[in-house]
Amino acid sequence: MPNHVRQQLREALATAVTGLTTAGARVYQSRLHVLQAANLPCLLVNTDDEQVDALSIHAPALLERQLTASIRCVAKSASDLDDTLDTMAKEVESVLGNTTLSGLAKTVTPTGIAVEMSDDLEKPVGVLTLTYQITYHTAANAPTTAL
Amino acid sequence: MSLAAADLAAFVDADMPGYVEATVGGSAVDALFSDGYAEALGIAGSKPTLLLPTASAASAAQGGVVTVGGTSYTIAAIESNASGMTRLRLDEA
Repeated sequence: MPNHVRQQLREALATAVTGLTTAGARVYQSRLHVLQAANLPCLLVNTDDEQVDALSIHAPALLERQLTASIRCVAKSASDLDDTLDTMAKEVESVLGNTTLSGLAKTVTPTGIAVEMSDDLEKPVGVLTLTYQITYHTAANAPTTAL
Repeated sequence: MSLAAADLAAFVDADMPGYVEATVGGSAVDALFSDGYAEALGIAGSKPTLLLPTASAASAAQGGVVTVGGTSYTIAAIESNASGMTRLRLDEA
């Protein structure tokens, strides 16, 4: 059985942002482990909360799903950390700006950017989080098939 | 040298763990160096610090250079208190 469309979308997001100039192949999905030096700079791809609304009253209902996805750009740099994070954001936004993620999504819309930086390590570290709202449709009894 | 200053100088004696001969702002100082494991924002690393008598830290300034064992650092923060000791929080240059 195919995977839930949520998973398909997360994997499609990760594929889309793999190979970008700054992070390269260092793209991790739903990572919980602490990042080591060898992991940086990197992109962390997560699929988070999802709002589901029925568009039809017959069964099985047609569902419109609003998935919140985040891509965190993570870097450690002795200088110009903000420039590095903004460059990573530029690279991600450029590839997600006009995509349906292989037809899985109706829309992929950026909804916000948040930035955290810290000087609690041997070099400054920062995380720039890009948040996207991804709209997709499924039948209520077929969460593995995007409509 | 006052008794307190003598005590503090003894505290950074060569027999103490972490003892180093460092330079702070170009001045040679006796100090205690630490570079233990640390985490921030889900990222692993370390946080180097240098502890020295406040009297030896007169040339320390934020952004100034500290050299320990051939490695250069910049001073990220200066933490002084009434104990007579100052801790320099360091960033790798």
